[in-house]
Amino acid sequence: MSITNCEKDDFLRPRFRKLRAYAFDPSLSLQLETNVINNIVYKVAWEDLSPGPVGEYIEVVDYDPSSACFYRPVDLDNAFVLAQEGLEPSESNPQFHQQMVYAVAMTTIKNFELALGRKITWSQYRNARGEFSQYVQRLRIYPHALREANAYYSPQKKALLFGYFNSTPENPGLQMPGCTVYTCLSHDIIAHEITHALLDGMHRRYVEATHIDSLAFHEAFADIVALFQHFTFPEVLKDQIAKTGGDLRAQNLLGELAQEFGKAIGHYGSLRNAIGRFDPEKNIWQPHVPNPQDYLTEKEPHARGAILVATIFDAFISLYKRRIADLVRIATGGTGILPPGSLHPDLVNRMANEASKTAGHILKICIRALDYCPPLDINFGDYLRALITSDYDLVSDDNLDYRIAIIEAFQKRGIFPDNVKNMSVESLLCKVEDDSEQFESRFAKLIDFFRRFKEKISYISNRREIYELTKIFITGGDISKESGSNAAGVPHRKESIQGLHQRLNIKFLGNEDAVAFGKLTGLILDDSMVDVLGIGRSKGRNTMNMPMLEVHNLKLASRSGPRGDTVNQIIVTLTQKRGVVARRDKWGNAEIIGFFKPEAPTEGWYERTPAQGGNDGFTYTWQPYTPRDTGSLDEGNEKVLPEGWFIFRGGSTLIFDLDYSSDENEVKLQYVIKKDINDEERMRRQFDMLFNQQDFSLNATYFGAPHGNLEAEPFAIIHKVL
Amino acid sequence: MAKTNSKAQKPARAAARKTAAKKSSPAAKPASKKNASRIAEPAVQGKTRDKIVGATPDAVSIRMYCHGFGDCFLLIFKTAEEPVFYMLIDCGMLTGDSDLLKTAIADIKETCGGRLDLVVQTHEHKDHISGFNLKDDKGELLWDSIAVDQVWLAWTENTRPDGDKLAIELKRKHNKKKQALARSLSLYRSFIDDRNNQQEIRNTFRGDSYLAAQKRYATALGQVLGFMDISEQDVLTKAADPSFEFGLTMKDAMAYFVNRSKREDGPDISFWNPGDLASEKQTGLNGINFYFLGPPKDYARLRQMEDHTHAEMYLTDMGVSDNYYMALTKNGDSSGSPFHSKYFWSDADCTRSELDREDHVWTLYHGKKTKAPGDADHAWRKIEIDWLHNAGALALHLDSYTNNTSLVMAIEFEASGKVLLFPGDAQIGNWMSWTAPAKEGSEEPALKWKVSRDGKKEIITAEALLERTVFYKVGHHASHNATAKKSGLELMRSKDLVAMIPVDQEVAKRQGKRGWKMPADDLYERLKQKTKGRIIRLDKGNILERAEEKLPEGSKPTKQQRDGFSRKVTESTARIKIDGKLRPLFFEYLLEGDRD
Repeated sequence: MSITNCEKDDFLRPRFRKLRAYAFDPSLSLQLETNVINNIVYKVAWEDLSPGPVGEYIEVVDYDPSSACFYRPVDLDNAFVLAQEGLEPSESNPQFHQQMVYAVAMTTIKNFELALGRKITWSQYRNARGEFSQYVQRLRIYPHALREANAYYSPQKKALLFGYFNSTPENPGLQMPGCTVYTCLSHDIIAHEITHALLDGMHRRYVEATHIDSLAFHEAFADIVALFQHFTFPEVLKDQIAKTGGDLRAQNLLGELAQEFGKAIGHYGSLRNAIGRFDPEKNIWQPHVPNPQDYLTEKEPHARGAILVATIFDAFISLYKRRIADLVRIATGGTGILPPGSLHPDLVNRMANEASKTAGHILKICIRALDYCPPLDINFGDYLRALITSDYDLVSDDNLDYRIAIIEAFQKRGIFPDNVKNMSVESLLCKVEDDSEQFESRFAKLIDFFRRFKEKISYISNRREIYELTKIFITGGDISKESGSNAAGVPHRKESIQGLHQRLNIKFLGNEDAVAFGKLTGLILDDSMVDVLGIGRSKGRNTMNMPMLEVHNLKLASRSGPRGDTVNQIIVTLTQKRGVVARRDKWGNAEIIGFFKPEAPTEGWYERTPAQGGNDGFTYTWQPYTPRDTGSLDEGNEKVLPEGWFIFRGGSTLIFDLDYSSDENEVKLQYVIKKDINDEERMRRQFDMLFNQQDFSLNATYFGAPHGNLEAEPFAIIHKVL
Repeated sequence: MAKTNSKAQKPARAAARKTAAKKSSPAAKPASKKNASRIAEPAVQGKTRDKIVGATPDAVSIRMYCHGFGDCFLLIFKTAEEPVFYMLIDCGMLTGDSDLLKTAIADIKETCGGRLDLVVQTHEHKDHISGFNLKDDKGELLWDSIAVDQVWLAWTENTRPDGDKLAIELKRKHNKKKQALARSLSLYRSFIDDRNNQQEIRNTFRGDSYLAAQKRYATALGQVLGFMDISEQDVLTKAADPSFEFGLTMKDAMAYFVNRSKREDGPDISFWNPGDLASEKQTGLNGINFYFLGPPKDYARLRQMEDHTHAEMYLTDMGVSDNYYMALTKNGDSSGSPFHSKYFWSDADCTRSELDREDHVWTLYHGKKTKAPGDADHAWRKIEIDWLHNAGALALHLDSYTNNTSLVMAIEFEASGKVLLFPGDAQIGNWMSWTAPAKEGSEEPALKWKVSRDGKKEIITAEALLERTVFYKVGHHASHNATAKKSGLELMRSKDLVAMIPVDQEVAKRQGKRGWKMPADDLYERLKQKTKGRIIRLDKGNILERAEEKLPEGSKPTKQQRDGFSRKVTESTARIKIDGKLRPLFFEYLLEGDRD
């Protein structure tokens, strides 16, 4: 029997497909204590599937190159499989592996869509010269791609690669020594990896290590999603909360639990150790006391990422404690002191639900904040501002003090955003600081354009169409084909629009406003300075000779908050790149000495020298290009850029409020999240990152990248799950 | 200490000497003035031999040969300016003109009069031992014409059937890994050298850079393999042959003296453990003690390549899982799969119409058999060689492991307490083991020597030896990971500390993607401070006389220090040509052992 038979009958399509899988990883199923909670049923939104499974978002291709074979793709529509909620969890059946990666990946994707209020897309495929881009419908998952304790997301291949390896466990009681361990059977690893892919789909510049926090952020964010997604399964929590008995260290228990997740598959010395550690003398688990110094001194991406995970976890714990305080009082007749012995099962259920609900909130807040992040070069402080701003927008009445809890947690860890006067909610909001009034009337026109975008896009549910339509709204063209208006029978009517890219150029460039708008958005649009400052000019048909400018993204965010607030926003990200030449001065500090065009470094560069007069207090003199002389000189980008030359990016995320603009005079650019392309402090920091002499690893010595055997795969080594 | 020869010690050595002298006499021509060094007149044959027993050296000259990127140190112990004992530590080069190394060997031979009292081979890397099986034009091994009394090796080389059990086990593992690494590289190379594959990679965004990265990666792997003298040629032609043994030339070089010891006139071989001490009984030198600090007899430490601030500390054996080797020995055979064959699947199991579906798994990976224009092509998502990137971890592991098997020696002048430290290329795991506590939480180091001085019992620790170190041969060409900071350099507190760095920066710069950072900036700077600039570099000599060498704060020597140092540094009159520039064949530093 196949699914098509069902459709002939007039049945409703099922809402969910139930699939059995591990809540943790297989090792816990071998322990009597944890077996109960380890096998759970994932409820995945129903979709049509081909064997693989291959669906709308995911294609599981089970090719094992090291064994030179494919494993038979699972058919989840098989009647026997459907009837028993998927294949039975089993390590020795690769088809179950396919089922589990699918179940966890889809659960994570749905969590993202729920939080963001729109459909997700993967980062797009681009051809060799980067000018042609193509929609990537499905993320590919290879459950048995590697033979090592590693799993990673490959931005180049838009694929997740999972490894398997022979274990040498810390605790032979948990795993048989020498047995094969599959990373694709760990909920946390799958959730973690797919989060990398989702994040890359939203912010593809985040994989570039331009700030000491960039890779750390990718890591930390993926861990946060994995961790809190775990806590949204109440069945996992119940068992553990029941175990606390009269001892109310529930907050510690959750931390310990978080750590157990990591340990199960041998995550030795991993991120989660940041939350706390097991004290062998007292035989109890203790959370770490936050040390604000860590954020200043810790350089290694895992350890640094751990700081962010621990921060979010702190916020979660304090919120959870608040939420169960009343429950405990009710259960104890107001004393708040639980009696020894087992807890009442009802109380356990309620507490587990509170924990699960809180985790769900935190997860949503963390994901939603991504829309409010700068398009590149993110640091933890930026993320704090994004968390606060996104939550402020959606939940006007913060009666549970979520925002305060988050701010407090960041403060305790010593994470402070740049350029913020104090740590209050008001000052953390990403408000427009520069004067934007002169643009209000022009923004009004833009808002009309955005409204049209919203109208068109709101009625499309096909992800490919959303992608193509967005592209046309950015670059210009005929939108009639993509907007579904030419259904059968309706004559095709061409509907050409001018793209956002061109609109921005026309509206703001070629006059004094360009300078002001550049200042507002952190871009260089001043026509007279474009060449010497290393920006370069566009060769695009509609924008010929305009300063290079990339409209990175155009997104509609329609969300409704828990208290009925609704938000309709347009998110636009604009970026630019420039070539920077820097060197170390005699004190060893980075010094910016000139700029080159990123598109054509071999054409020479402009040296900058301080001078009286000149537009900006400098004079610029053209210098010829000198090729690099160190390292191996194969082909590719690195070949041409000499020591000290690098590509630097800047730009901003602009958030327009569609609802605010009911009256044409009240059009509003609500937030600007800016990474100024003129920020020399940032340039110097990036120079220090790239040409770091002080701290490098063996890997860097031999392979040219501090973390990653292949530089082109930024996540490859960082993920060694050892 | 373990001995290979069962001969009774002293008589055996005397006998060996006689035959050696006889055998080497035709080869030992009178010293030609052309090559003679300014300071060290070649010893007249027989003269040193008579003096050796019971000699009490008061000074030692440390001669660093500058033939290329590699270690070769000749130590000449002297009594009243007369040479009494010749000791060689390593003789190798990584890349470059092997004729230059031959020149160095000829100079060694001439200097010592055709006979060395002692040779130390620190570890099995090309840049340390490649000279030991070099041949002359007639195909004769160069070293066959130099007599050697004794050879010292680390316990890790004691792999004879009755040798050290751990050493045998480790060597076996090591060989397996070497094989796997070579095989990985050969598979990797053959994929990325294929034109079709190259075109496919280039078609994708940043494909050029991606391909370049892959090529660099293969090159980097090749360079690491170069330390084991595994050539690209061997990798490409022999990797599929499971019976072929890689790195044979270095294995030969390392085993050269062990094999020679089986001959009648062969040297005595000693394998040393950490905690051992060689004194007059072994060397015949009064007042000179050789303390052995490493390699540690602990696999965990041997694997440790960097301190905890680096990610690699996570690379345990798991990074090089057994199933990875297995796949490499299977030659593309599915029998290496962890799953039952009933799950195997191929296009033969599918119907034609299934294969024509866009969303069919086989089609997704391989593309449609009959491609129409506009069909989605997913070739860029193939993962044929991604699993081989694990070889990088393996290569680092292998390289560091071998470095960590370096025999580490502290040579002490008993009277003045002055110490010379020769750590080979020991990496962090080896360094850390010297001062590591016996038990967790205790202050007492595991490693210590009980000696009697002037009739009193004394305990010597590694910390005490470091404290008194006045000469440091910087490990691994001054890379960042071969000089421990807290438990190494910072413990060297002598105000007279002098360092010698066998590094050729220009050669290092040409390796790897960005060039190898040798010397590593932060280490080099700290060394300058610690030594007050009294550093001798293979490529530059006495850096105090080089105008381009900047001295950071706290590293300015006093005039007295500067002059005193410069007086003791000499160089050969003989010149060699490297990179079109002339450079002395060696630099030499005279360390006076009896004076403060």
